[in-house]
Amino acid sequence: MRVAAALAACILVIPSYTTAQTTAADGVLALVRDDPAEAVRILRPLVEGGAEPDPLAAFFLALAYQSGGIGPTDQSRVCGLLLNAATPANPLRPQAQALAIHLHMNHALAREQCMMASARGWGEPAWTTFLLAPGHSVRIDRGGFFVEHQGSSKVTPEGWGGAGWKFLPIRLSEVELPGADRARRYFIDLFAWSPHTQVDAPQWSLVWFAYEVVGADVVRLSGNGLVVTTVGPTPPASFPVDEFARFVSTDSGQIERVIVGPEASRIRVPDRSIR
Amino acid sequence: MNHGLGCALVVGFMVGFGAPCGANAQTARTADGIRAFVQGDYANAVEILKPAAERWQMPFDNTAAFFMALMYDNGLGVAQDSVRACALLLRAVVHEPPPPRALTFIVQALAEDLKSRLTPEQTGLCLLQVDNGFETGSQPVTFTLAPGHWLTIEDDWPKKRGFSARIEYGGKQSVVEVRVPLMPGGRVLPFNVTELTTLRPAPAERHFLEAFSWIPAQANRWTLMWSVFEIVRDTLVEVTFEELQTVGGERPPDYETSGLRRLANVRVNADGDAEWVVSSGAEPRNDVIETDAERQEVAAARRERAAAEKAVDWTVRRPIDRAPSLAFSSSSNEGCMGPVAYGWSSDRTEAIVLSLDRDAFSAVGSASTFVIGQAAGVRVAAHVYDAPQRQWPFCSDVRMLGDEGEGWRAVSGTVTIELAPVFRVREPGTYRATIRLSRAEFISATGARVRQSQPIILSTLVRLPEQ
Repeated sequence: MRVAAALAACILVIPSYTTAQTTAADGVLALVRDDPAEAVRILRPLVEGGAEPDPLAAFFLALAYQSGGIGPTDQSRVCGLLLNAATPANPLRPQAQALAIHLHMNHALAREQCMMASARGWGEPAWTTFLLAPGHSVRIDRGGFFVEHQGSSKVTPEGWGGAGWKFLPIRLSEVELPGADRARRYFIDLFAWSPHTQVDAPQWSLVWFAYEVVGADVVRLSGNGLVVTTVGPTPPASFPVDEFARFVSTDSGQIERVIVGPEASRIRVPDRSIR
Repeated sequence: MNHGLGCALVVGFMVGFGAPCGANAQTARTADGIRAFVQGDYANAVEILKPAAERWQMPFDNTAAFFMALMYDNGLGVAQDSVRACALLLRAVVHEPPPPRALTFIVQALAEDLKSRLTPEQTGLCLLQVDNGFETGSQPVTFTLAPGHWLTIEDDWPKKRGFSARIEYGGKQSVVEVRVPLMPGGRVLPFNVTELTTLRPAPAERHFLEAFSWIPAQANRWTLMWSVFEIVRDTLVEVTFEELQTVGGERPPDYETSGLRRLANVRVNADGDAEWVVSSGAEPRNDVIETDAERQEVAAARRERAAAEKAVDWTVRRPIDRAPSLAFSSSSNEGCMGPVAYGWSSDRTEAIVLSLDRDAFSAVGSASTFVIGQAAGVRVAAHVYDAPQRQWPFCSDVRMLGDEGEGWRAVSGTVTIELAPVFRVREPGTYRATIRLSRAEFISATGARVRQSQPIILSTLVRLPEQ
């Protein structure tokens, strides 16, 4: 009976091991084919999807991100993956360590970002698509904004993410302008809790990245975007972000980007005609 | 914190080499090797990737090289060898095609990391390996030729890009270069020494060192070269370098010695002389091999001629209308291997030439005497120049204006020719002709006369016409 149980365990374990390794090999082969997007698609679940990340997959996933072929490269993210890959189980541990050092160059801040990315993972938004109007949509993913507008499309490269960041769902804000034509302006809001790295007590800042979609164009709005800072090992599980950060239209037809609370600010959003 | 590592950027000691982006030389076989590597099957990965990675033929498989570098640096499936890892990575940086774009960063960063870990000597060896490849496949081997006479072949690749022979002879050791044709990535089959007993000019034991080497010709093409050297005392004399065949394949075929022997050999021919033979391919060919005595005689004559020429003041100018001194240097005379012999004065402003026509030349015996003016077909002339002459023009029918200088024709006197046979393996019928001119009188074109006052002796090699 014990033998049978052990055999069953083997049967269960071996195929899963083989499958995982084979998949990792597929990812590495995609990488050497100069197809980093495919490499990421294959390798990322092996690194982030299970309880036991595959360190060799993490090593090559880092290279896929580093290649820049799938959007802007963030060295902290690459560095964090390399630290994750630098485990005794990885035959390429010395190389993973050497590359991580090569990236952060022993600069204090860069090293902390690297370690945070390693420890807390890399935060990025849940990608989404918004339909703004018939024939007018915007898709947001790792490569930036992809806008379809009146039969044409335009890509506006942009990158989001950070070591240990926690993103809230991406928000679409529609602001109706006063007037008979009931014209609307469209804003894309990304909110993320960003961990502080150089304070004794753990803190989190909620930062707001705001963009306006104008036809096929996407324009980043200025402003430091700090909404609120909290203290705690983790950011609040829920936060009424609409109460603290929103766009409002004035009677005169102006639009303002408003933050309330301790970081209160009002920044007028430039008119479209000014841009 | 973007370090801006572009595809063409080379770091540290690699500055100066560009690595343009482009297609890589990855093959389906390489993909199998990578899969084995990721699965931890390093033995299989090495089996597949090592030949591709270490093939120093264009286009390089720099993807295979990258993975082999990782395995060498970590001792996975191979003995740990960071120098070789360094060479494989640097080659990927220096030589096209570049590694896949996604690997550019790691190749450059790891090369820099290796640089920081290697000693200066190891770094130097790494750079040599980039240029010259790795081992040639040869093993040190010692051949004993006779008591107290042996040689050991040592592989100096890649440090000196060649081989050397340490030769023990006469109680002393010397090291000489063994110039085997080879290129980076080439293979050398085991060296071999063949002993022959030749019969001419006298029975002798002779030893020939042979090397077969595979030279990477182009992508997956290999050319087999055969090098033959004669071991003479403490020297190696280059006999011949012959191209035997070109074959296709990722690596050269493994020929057994017997297979090689069907392609080329050194042997004793029917005359008892040593000869090399290429017996296969489109152009079977052979040639006899000079004896040591022949080589020494040629070398001695060359040295003597060089010394005589070195003593000449090439700037001197003399009146061309002067009478010849008729004093000729024994170290400055030669012939045209036929019925013409000549000699120079030590300052090379005068020459004397003896020429026989076909009938007279045919009549020359072991000792012949001709009376100038009476013997048909025998001509002796002195030539006077206003400046030293570097070359003798009379072995060719092509003459330039002034080649003959001012001529003085012998009208009386005697010419004695003595012939002694000389062994020339390639030129049977060769004799050393010693020519003595006695009591000769010369007359110029204007009727001036001058008489020989000292012996004139010429010595040259001749080949007599077959009777």
